[in-house]
Amino acid sequence: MKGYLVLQLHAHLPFVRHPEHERFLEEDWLYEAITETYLPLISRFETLADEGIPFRLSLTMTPSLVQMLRDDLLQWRYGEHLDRLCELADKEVDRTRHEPRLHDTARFYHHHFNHLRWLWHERYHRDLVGAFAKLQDRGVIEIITCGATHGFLPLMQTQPEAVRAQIAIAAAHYRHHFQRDPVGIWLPECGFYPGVERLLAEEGIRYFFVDTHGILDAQPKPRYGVFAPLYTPAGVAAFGRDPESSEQVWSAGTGYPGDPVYRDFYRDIGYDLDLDYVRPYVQATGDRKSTGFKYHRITGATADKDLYDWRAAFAQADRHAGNFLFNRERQIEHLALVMGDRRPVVVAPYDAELFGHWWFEGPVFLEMLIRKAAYDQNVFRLATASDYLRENPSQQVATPPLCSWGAGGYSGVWLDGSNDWIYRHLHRIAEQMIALARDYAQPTPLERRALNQAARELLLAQSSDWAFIMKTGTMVEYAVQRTKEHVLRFQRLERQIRSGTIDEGWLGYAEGKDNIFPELDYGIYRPRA
Amino acid sequence: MAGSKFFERSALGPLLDLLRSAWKKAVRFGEHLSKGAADARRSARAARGQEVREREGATVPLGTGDQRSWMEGVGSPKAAREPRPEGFVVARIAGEAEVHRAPHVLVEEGLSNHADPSTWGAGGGIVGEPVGGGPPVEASAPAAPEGGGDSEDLAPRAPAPPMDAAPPASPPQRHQRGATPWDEGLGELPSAYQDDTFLALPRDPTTLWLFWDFAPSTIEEARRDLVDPRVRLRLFDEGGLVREQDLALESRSFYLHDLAPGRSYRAELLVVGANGEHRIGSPTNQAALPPKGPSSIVDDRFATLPWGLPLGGDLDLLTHGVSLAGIPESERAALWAASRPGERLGGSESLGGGSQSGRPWVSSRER
Repeated sequence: MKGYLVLQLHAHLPFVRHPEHERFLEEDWLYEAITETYLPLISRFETLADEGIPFRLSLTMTPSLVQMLRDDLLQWRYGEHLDRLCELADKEVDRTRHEPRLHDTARFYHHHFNHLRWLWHERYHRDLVGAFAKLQDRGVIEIITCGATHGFLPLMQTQPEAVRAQIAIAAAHYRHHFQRDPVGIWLPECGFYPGVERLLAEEGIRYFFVDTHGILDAQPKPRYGVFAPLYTPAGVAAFGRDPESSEQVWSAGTGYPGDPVYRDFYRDIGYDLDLDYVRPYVQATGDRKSTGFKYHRITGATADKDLYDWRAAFAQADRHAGNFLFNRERQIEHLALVMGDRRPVVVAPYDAELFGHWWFEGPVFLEMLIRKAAYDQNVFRLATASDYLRENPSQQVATPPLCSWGAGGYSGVWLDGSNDWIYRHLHRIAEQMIALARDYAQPTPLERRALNQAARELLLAQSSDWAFIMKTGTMVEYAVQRTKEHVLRFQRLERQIRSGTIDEGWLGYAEGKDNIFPELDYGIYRPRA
Repeated sequence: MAGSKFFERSALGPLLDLLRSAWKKAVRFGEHLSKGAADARRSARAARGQEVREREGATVPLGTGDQRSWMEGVGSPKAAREPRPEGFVVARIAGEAEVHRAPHVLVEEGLSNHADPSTWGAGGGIVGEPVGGGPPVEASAPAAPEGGGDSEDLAPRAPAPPMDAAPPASPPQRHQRGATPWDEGLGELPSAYQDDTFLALPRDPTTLWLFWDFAPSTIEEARRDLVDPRVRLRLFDEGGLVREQDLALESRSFYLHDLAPGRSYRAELLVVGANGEHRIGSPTNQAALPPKGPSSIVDDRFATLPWGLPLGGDLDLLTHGVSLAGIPESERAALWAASRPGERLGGSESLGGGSQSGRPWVSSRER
C-alpha cells in the first residue's frame, strides 16, 4: 500500500421546515435529497458492509440536516411525499405500457421508489441519522460535523463568540445525536481564517478540510503540497482538496456526470407532460416542478434528448469507477515516488447531493469504486482523515490563509453587492446576543426560553445558504425573507427580554416554528474573560 | 366497465389510447384557435398523435412528453412568480454557471415579470422591496430609534397557534409567502441602528469591505466648527497611511479594491474642512487580507501529535515543532505541479477546459 484516498462527502441542506404550511416548496430540497441521495447511499453502504467489503469513507452531516432528518413533522411529510411518488409510479407504468423503452424505465422507477419506501419505513424506521450512525458504529464511515447552521466563519471573525457558538453548538449537537465526540469538521463552505483552529481545538476537533490553495498558500510553504495535511499551530490538522480527483467527478464540462449516457437532470415529466396529468404531483398553484420521473439521457448539447437506458447508464458508472480507480492508482504511485518515505494522501471531497440528486448514477459509481478499491488494486487504501492521522502522526506545521471553496477562493460569494446588506444586521444581532448572554447570567425560566430562542434565530439568520442564494439569484425571495424573519424575530425577543415583557404565546409559536437545537444553551455566547 | 377493460387488454388498447389522446388534444385545439395559425398547426399535429420534432422532422415516441410544453401556459417562465426551486441545489452542486445554462428558469433574471414584484400576487413576496437587496440608504423604512425597536410591536396580534400540533388539515397551499396562518407582524428591518459601528471585513487578497452606521450625533460632533466639511476615508496598514479618498457617508459601505495582499489594514473616516478635521467615531477593527500565492518562507518544521493526545487551546506548534532539512527544490516543484493541475476549483463554480498541464502522471477518461 503506497498511499491513501480520502473520499469526503459533504451532506448539507439549510434548515427548511415550515409547519405553518401544509406543503412548502423548499422542503422539497430535503425530500429530493433523501430520495435520490441519502437513502441510496445508506442502502449501498450497508450492502457493502454486509458483504464484508473493507472500506472507509468520510461524511459530513451538518447539524441543520441532522435536525431535519430527526424531525417528526418532516419525517411524516416525507412519508407522504414517498406515497405520492409511488402513486405516480403506478400511473407511469400504466401510461407507458405501449412504449417498451419508456415502460422499462417506468418499471425501474416503480421498483426504485417502492424499494425506497420499504427502506424508509421498514428498514430504517424513518431515522436516517440512526442508520448513518449505525454505519459509523460498524466502522465503515466516519461522520464529521459542520458549523451549527453553516455560517460562513471568515465573515464572523470580528465576533469570536459567534464563531465559537457555531462550533460549540455543532459539537454538542453531534455528541447528542451520535453519542461520541466529533473528530473532524467540515468548515462551512471550507471557510477558514487563521485563529479559528483554536476554537476547533477547544472542542477536541482534530482535523478540517480546506480548498487546494488553503494548503498551497500556507505559511511556511508546505513541503508536500496538498498530498499531506498540515498541523496548524493549535495542533488541528488541515487537509487540502486534490484538484485532479475533484475535476474528474465534479467538472460540468469534463467530469463523469456529463456523459451522454447518464440521466438528464432537467427533463422531467413534471415539465413535459400534460398539466392535468401531473397536477397532483407538482405545485398546487399549478406551477410545474420536477417529479423525479425522468425518461431522457443527457445525449449532448441539444434540446432533443434521447431516451434513457438505466442499464447502459449503470454500466457506464461502473466503467467510470474503474477509470477513476485507475487514475488514482497512477497518481498515488507517482506521488509515492516523489515523496520518498511519506505516504501520500489524496483528498477527494464532494457535495454528497452530487451523488444521486445531480448525478443520478453517482451512488452506483461510488459503490463500484469501493468494490474495485477493495479487490482490484493494492496501491492505495480508502481511509478517513482520522485514519491517516492515527497512522501518520508527524506532520509539517503551517498556517493556512483565509480561504474558502467558493468561486474565487475567498469570501466573494458571500460578500457581494447582492448580499452585503445582511452583514449590518447579522453583526448587530450577534452583538446583542453576546450582550444578552453577558447580562443574563441567572435568568428566570421564561427568560431562559426567550434567550435560547433568540440564539436560535441568530444562528438561523447566519446560514451561508441565504447569502449564496442571493448571489446566485436562484430563490432570492425566499432567502431574503428567511434572513429578515430571523433577524426580526431576534430583535423582538431582545426587546421583550430587556423590557421584561416576554410574550409567552408568541414565544411558543417561534419555538415551534424555528425548533432547531432544542438542547441549546445561549450561555455559549457569554464573553470569556 | 368489463367491456372497457377487455378493450384495454386487447389489441385495440393502443387505438383507444390514441383516440382518447386525440379527443383531449382536439378539445385543446379548439381552445387555442385564437392563438393563431402556428399554434393551430401544432395542435392539429398533436391531435393526430404525432408530435413532431420541428427541426429534424423526426417522430418522437408517444409518451415522452413535449420538451417545449413547460414554455407555455400555467407554470411557464412567463407566468412563474419565481425561479424553479431546484436552482439552489443546482447552483450549489454544479456551480453558478450551470443555473444560467439550464433549460429551465433557475434564476430571477429569467422571469419575464422579474422587474415587477408587485405582480407576484397576494401573499407573494416582500412587496415593495427589490429582490436581492436589503435596505439601502435610500430605503423608506423609518430609522430605528435609539436603543432599537420598530413599530411592529404596535400591531394587533392573534393568539399563537399550537405549533407542535399536527399540520393543518386545510387544502394544500403551495409556497405561500408573507401570508402565514398567523401573521406575526414582524414589520420591516430598520434601515439603520445608528450604533456607531464601523467594521472592516476581508473579501479576498486585494479587497476590503467597510461598513459604518454612525449616530447622527456622532457625525454632527465631527462636523462641528468645520468650514466646507467633506468626508474622507483613510486607510492604514502596518506601515502607515496607504490610501486616502473622499466618499459619501450616505453610502454606508464601501469596497476598497487593489490593496496589497497579506497585509493588515485599519480604516478611519473623517470630516475634513478648510479649517481642520475631526474623526467620525472610532477606527475600524484591524482586518488582515489573505496572501495571494505560495509563501516565500521555507521552514520545514514538523511536529508529532499522537492521536490520543488532547489538544489544548494554548498549544503553539510553531514554537515547539522540530525543524527538518528542506527537500530538494525539484521535488517540491513536482509536488507543487501535481497540486495545481489546472485552475482553482470552487464549490460554486465548475471547472471547464480540463487542462492537464503540469500534471506529472498520465490520466485518461478511458482506461
